[in-house]
Amino acid sequence: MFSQMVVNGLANGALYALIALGLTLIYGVMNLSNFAQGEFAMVGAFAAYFLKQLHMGYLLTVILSFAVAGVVGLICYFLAFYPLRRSNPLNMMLSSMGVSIFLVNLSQYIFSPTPKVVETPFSDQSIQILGVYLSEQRLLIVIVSLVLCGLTYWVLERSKFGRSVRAASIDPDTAMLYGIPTNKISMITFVVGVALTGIAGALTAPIYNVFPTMGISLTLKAFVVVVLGGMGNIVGAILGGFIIGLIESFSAGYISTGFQDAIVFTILFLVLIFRPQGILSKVRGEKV
Amino acid sequence: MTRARKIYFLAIAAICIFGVYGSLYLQNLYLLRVAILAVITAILALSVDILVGYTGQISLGQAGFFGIGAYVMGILNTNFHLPFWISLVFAILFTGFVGFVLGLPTTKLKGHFLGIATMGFGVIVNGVLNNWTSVTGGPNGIRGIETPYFFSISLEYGNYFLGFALASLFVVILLIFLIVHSPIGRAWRCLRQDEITAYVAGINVYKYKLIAFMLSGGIAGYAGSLFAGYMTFISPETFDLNQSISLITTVIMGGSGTLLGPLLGTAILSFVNEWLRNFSELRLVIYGFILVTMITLLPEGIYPFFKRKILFFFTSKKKKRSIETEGSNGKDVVNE
Repeated sequence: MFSQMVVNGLANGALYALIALGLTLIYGVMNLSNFAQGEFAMVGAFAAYFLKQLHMGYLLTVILSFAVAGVVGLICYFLAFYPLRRSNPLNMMLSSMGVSIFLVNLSQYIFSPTPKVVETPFSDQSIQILGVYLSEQRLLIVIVSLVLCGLTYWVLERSKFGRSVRAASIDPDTAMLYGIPTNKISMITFVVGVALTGIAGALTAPIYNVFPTMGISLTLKAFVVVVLGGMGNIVGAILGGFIIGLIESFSAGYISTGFQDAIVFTILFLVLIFRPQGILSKVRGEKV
Repeated sequence: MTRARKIYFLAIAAICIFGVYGSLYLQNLYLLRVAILAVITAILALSVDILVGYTGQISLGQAGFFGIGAYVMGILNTNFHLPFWISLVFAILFTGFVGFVLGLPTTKLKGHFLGIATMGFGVIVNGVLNNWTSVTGGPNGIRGIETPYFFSISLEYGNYFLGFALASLFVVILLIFLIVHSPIGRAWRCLRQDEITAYVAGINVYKYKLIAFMLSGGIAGYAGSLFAGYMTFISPETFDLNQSISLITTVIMGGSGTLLGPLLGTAILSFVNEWLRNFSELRLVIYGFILVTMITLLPEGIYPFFKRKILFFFTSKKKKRSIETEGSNGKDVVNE
């Protein structure tokens, strides 16, 4: 029972890590708390559902959902965030909430609120490792998430592009003086950040089904994860994802599923009180 | 009190008396209901404005205070059979206390962190209201809350309730006006500009932020009690994250840090919300679109924008030129 909970927690955690990764990237570069993050998971899940209707292979739909979420993200970026790039962060945050309301209700209008089932070749079989059951779909989620997180980390740490992203997130103005096109960087970061979330949506679609309001709870979880790991901290977001996944699985197992959200947010409060900089980041002094 | 402020004050008092009187003659029941809910929203928006506008904090959990106020009223009134007015006092005191408790950890945070923490507060309150079934009734909510008597006038009649709600709104406006123009308000403005500077200037930043949280919570709790008294039925879904978001949107859209901004925002958004009922299913799609458009086009808010335009229209040409050059310089300054 205990080890089963651990495995379930880690499998969910991989998903949270992937969404939180996009969120923390966007926060780092654009200084935007993107409340529409989960909605892009919804966009990705719907993309997977409709591409599946066209008799495409599941893995192909997952890859294409990346592109669909990216394109929707690009449109949203230019309509809702680009005009506010020099404005107060609070305005950007509200704008993202507007995007969230718009996307949720538009998909509710077009696709109706009834949950839709996405079939995969991995749904039914579950494999047994050391007395613990894990469905193949969950295993796929874990593998894809880890690969994508690793790839993103590698790009950020090793490539020239990654270096300019890091520079833009530390200090956009100085980065601009050094000839880094910060506007372009923030656009690419936003699109990649939401596209990663789109993949997460396509991956979770077969387990939790597809419905318009699926993104809201994902957004909240992703925020908790990002705060836990330290805002803008990539490794922290990945680690935080697994921690929140475990906590959630234990609280569902030992306390009650109804209080799950309240417990996760109570932990958020504790982190904010005792380690507002997150579990991994160092305290940075504030400049006047 | 300066002469301009006296005129402003008299104007507000005149509108107040006119409004309360006028509310007695509103015949249309539908309009009456919309007006009462709009007035309650306006009180809530002002409570958000204390935090967002005057103190420069973020509150994404105002629906939490709103809900606690409504539920304290509901529980005391139905389970303990306390009269409306005594429950009201308890509701205000309790939400003020909750604001104080929430403020203890969160005054150390700022910006996005504060936003997420207050959002967490709202989600936790909603979770408790939904799941603590023995006390809150869970998703079924609480029924049969008493509509109050005001000196033997039953407020069950919409007109009287509207008059009472308007009168409360004006009391809240007056209260905020007086506080903002007192040393507390000066401290708030200072710490809104720059917290470190305020600290260096000898202002106890945490104390003044706590005051803001308590006051904001208390006022939102008052609005919650009014809501419970009017609807006589409350359930958790009124007090969710969407409510908090729509409140902060109202304030930012109208113009934060002003008294008229949130009122204007409430009036416009209430009107838009009712008008959008014509579109039934597309209602929230258009609402989201309007929200994004308004914020991207008028990030400073409607009221400050028009105030600036109107003041600019009446200034002399010489002054205009100096403002214009100042404005172009100001644009290059990077907003932190």
